[in-house]
Amino acid sequence: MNSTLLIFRKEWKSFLGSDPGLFVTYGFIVAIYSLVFATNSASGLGTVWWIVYAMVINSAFANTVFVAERMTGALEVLLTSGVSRRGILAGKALFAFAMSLALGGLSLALSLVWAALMPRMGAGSTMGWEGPATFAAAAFMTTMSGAWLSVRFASPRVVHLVNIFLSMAMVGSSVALTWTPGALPAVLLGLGCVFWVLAARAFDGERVIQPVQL
Amino acid sequence: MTPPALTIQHLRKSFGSRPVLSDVSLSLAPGTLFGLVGLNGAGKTTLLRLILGLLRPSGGDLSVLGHTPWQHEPAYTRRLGVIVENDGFWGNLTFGDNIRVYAEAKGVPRSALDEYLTTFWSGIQICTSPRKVKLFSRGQRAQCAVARAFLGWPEMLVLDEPVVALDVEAYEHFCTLVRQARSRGCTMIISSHVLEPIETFCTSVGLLKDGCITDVVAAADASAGEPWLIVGPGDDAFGTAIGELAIGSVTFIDGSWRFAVCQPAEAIPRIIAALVNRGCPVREVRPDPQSLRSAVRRSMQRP
Repeated sequence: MNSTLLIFRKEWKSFLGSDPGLFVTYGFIVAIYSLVFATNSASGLGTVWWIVYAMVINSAFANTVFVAERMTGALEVLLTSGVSRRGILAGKALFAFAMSLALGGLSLALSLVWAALMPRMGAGSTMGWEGPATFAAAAFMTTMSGAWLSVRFASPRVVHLVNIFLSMAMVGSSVALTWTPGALPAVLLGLGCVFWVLAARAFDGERVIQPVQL
Repeated sequence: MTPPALTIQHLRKSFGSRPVLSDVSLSLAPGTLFGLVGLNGAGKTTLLRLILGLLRPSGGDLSVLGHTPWQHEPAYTRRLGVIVENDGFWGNLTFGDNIRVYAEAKGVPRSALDEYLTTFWSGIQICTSPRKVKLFSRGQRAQCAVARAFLGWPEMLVLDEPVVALDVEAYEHFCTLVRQARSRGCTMIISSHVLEPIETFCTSVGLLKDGCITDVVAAADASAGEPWLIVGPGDDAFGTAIGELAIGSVTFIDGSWRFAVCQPAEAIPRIIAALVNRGCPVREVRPDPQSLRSAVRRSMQRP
């Protein structure tokens, strides 16, 4: 647990030390998506937007925490520093997941403000529990699949593409097979757990330090 | 009898069908300073990564400080100090933040970290710089990597190209730390294309070639004797005394007596004892820097 928290704190500090432009970008994304959620009518696309949002936000964090360190050699130092490999994985995953939830929560809160300000747009009228739940589950799945895929593939682009494919496949299945409410988040959560196990095994292997190919 | 700090027996490592290390055997007693040399692509970094537990051996036995590196025990990695190929810093953090995270991971108490930084790094600007590490020059980052590696005086230091970007002052500082680590009994493996630190500090040097390690110093012994230097007075009596104990000619160059011996591990202590018994003041004894370079060159030329 100490290792996990240590890595989480390190990632947080590292995030705070990012270039100011990054915060502006995230702020822009949060604002745009809050408007999307606020103006979302009962078109049935609400859940899709949440999943897309999870992918956009989470892939940025997952790529940073799981790929960037392999490029600088920092992961090698970390692996030989006395922190357990499971602790490294858990700390990084916790950070990527928590940041996704934080930004998702921010968008949601902002969308409620828009909804109050713009009632004529029907803002927020269709916002049930399933959207945010799907977002959280999708963020979890993307985090863990990102962790596993970043070890399996040398290119972060491939990781991103596979993540997009996975998420879209889930959305497509839920629409085509008319899953009952709550089924999609549950499936995403289950997949996330599967990827967690795969990621834990991958982190124990030697490919975890393979060079990144851009 | 003290168990070896590192034991490697018939170690093999392949990447797919490409063998990198075919049969490496090595044993290092605690406190040994071992130099690892070899051409580019000889497998030096691969060997170091195996020792660090970053790669899994394809065959053979590897034991470091009583641990099997590939088992990834934090109790093992906490006893290591490393300099890796890339400097391995978190660029968005300052050096202070970087080393604090590292210290916590290693279980080095805050007081010990502060004492280390105050004692050895207080005069170095980068250590107190509020700038992020990503804004440092390559040399500054290399200096930071040295600071991080020696933190907590780990039992085993694995240094991959530790001096390649250091300036004169930083190199001197590195030498101070190596001496300090040596006095504390740290075992050290230095892999470097810059032979100066290996010549200066290493008691044993291995050449990695064709997937195997050759003991360079021993290889030189077998042929023409190993050149050594003794710093002492330039009078004939001193030179004669050395000449009686060494083989071949003894020459006085730049304040040092240059001579050759067979099996220096046994001969050098004998020569020093004899000189001291005769009342000859011996100020410094070390291998001739030219010897390693020539021995490496000879070893690489062998079929």
